[in-house]
Amino acid sequence: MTAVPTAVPTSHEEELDRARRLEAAWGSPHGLVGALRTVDHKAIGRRYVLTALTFFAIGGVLATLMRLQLRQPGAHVLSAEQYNQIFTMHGSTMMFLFAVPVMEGMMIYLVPLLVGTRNVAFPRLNAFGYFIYVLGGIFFYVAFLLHAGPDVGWFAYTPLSLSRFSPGKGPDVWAQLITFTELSALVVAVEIVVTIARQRTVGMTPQRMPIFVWASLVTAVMIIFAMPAIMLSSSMLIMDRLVNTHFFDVAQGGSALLWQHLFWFFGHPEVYIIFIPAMGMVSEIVETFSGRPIVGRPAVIASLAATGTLGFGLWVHHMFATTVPPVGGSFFTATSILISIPTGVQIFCWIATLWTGRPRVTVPLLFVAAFIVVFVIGGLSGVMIASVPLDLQLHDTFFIVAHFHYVLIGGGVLPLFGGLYYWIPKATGRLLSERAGRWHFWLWLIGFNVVFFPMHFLGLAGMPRRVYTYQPDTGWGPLNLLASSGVLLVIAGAVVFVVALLRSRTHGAAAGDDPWRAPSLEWGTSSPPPSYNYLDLPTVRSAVPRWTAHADQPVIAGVRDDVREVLVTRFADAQPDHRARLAGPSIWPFVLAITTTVGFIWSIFDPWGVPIGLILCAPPLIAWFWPWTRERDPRRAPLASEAAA
Amino acid sequence: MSARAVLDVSALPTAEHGRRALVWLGQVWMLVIEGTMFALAFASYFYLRATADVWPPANVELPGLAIPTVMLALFLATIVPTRISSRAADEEDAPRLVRSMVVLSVLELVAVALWWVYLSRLGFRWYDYAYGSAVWLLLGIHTFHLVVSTAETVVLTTLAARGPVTRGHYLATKIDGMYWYWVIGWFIAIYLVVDLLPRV
Ligand code: HEM
Repeated sequence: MTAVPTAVPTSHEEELDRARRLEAAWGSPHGLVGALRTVDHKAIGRRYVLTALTFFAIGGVLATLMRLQLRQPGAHVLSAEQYNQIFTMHGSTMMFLFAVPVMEGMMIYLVPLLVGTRNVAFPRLNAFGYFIYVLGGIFFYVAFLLHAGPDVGWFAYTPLSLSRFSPGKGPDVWAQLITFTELSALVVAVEIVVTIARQRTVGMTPQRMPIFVWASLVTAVMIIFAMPAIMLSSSMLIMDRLVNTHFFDVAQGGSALLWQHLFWFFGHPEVYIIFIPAMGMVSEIVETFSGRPIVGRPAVIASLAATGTLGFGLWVHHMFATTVPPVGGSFFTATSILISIPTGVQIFCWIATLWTGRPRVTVPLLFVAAFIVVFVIGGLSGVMIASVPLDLQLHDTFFIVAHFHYVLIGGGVLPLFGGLYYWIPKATGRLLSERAGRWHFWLWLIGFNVVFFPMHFLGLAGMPRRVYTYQPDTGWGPLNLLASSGVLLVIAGAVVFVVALLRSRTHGAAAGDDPWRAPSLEWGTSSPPPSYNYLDLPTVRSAVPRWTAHADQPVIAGVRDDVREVLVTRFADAQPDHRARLAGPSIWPFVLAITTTVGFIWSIFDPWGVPIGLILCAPPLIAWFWPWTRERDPRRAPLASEAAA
Repeated sequence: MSARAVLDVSALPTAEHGRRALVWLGQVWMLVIEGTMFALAFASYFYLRATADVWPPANVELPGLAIPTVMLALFLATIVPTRISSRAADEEDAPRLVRSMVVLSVLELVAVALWWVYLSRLGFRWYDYAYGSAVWLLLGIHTFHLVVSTAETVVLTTLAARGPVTRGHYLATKIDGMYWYWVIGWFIAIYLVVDLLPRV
């Protein structure tokens, strides 16, 4: 249907009254149990981000330990075994417990606000996903502290990770961490896709979707196709270790290479799962702070989609076209050449936007600038290792370590910080100190390069990765000391950020609804947004709605304010379709997460954990969907025909 | 008092129970995920098959064709009550929905029982060579979905038979039907790859 806008009278009292009813319908329950029951996407998104940043800090502590050990030849901070465990823990923590979840958290927090709705499509699933993630992380670190941590590297190559070579529980713990985090990622992906597909407000056609929403959509679809590979392969690994299957056991007809194929089917897109939301944040920041619509919007969107597709396309092409392992030279050459095109297009569009706009230099924009510089260096070293002879020379050296930290930190972490400085005022209602932000920025830009730039030369000089120490006569000492000393600057920058965040809570200037004069919808509601996000659900008529709103731009009326109801729109033309009821607070997602955790951990020790876990999960699952409040829910209420009977 | 433009949507229907419902789309994506997992399990099977010298290994006894063929016929037969039930859901015809769901539940339970017999008679286990592992991986995933989907049908049937039948039931019936078609589809793939392919 296409509704016709009409003018209706409003008054302050009427608005207050409506706000009260909406709060009663959408507000989260209080107390500790209330916190476990909440299904507000903002609360859950915030938790994701804070938890992920905590794991970032823990991963950073591990990195510091490694750099302490490597600061001089023959240091004794860590033993060889400890070093193996710690680089595995660091890599796994950064990839699975920090980088991907932090992006998921940003999407969960922002997507409903950016598309103008009141919650994600499956709010309880959302709560479940978070609990699975955090329980998985806790489990991983408890195992580590109990000396059952993995030490097989963050990609746990077989045959090293098979029980013959790794008899302890380490690889099982690693594989199960994967199961936890990928389950939560898949859950997030489904609700993000459905929310974007059907809950955009009226008028927000795909062409008018904010770029961050586009990036979230591409990311979610990538998760949906990539993560099953790692869940499957990590389960196969556990089965090889636990119930004597032979998927990866060459002696029994298995194939160690199968692991690498399955792992990289996931692992290659994984990098883009971190990178694409970061690009989305950069586009939002560039648009706002140049004060004009982004140049080449369709090209930017097409580039995001192309990056997402190439992440798979090349892998598949590779898999069917050749029999060399995924680390083959032609593969990397093709990837880096092709993938650099869409990235280059985006960088060009950002620069053109800044060039033709009136840029305001703020902390978020500084982090964007840092990202471009660092990422270009990472890209250059990428082109270097893309050439086969150099790769053979540099393979498994510190050159690679330098390269992927430039790409991951440059392409993921720096834009993330830009995004945090940009959106935290929306989430807390307080501005972060601009001065602190600039300190943070400089400490990181310099510190990061001091840590990682020398590693290029160490790699060229032949220093291998994953070694716990080296001899004095190698001559690697001075550069290693330089790299390690840079960590101090990075730590200082992180401390500045944390202090600024805490101080803003008490001393920060009030942000107001829109501190940045930004174009997208979320800046039209209060900071922090109310539980129901928008008192008046907005409609849009352009890609930069707040810059083009007319006085008569209609708001949506007729969505019930006494229950959790949202407007569902059609995918292509974003016109109203129907009104749908979303689920409210519930303790059962938490209980289900606990029973799932029991099943996952049990199955590391005993295959019966799988059926037992399934049986344990049945009661909370049934309780979750049980029609407790039949009469208040129209989906469950008897039909009119029966009510009459 | 001031006036402002509004777009009134109060006349729109609430609670869709067809393909337009949010849950429907959610289920579609869940099945895409599970389908990707299944497809990769098949890919692993073919990868191991391609790297093996002999496949299946000489001493492995192939599964008999009788049970799986009967199951195939049974699965195809279930399409009829599944279609009837989801048509009944569209038309909000509660008695017909309950009748077809009872038939469907019985047929699905028979399928589970037959599947159990098939698995227990299989002449090799997951630890018998990579072949056993690859086949049992497929069978294991199928078992999971067969059991979950059957349990779902039985629970829904019980709830619907107790009544009153609500819109929630209608939507759930359609979603359950979609899941069941999906299970049938993958069973056919297993039938072709595990039961037929090694014989040709
Ligand atoms: C600024 C803080 C960081 C420092 C000082 C740091 C330092 C290190 C060091 C020393 C290694 C081990 C090199 C070796 O001996 O092989 C390493 C490995 C690694 N780092 Fe970082 N890192 C940092 C941040 C990150 C971030 C943010 C990510 C990901 C988003 C990341 C991902 C990895 C991965 C995947 C490995 C490989 C682990 C393995 O070999 O299995 N690091 N890092």
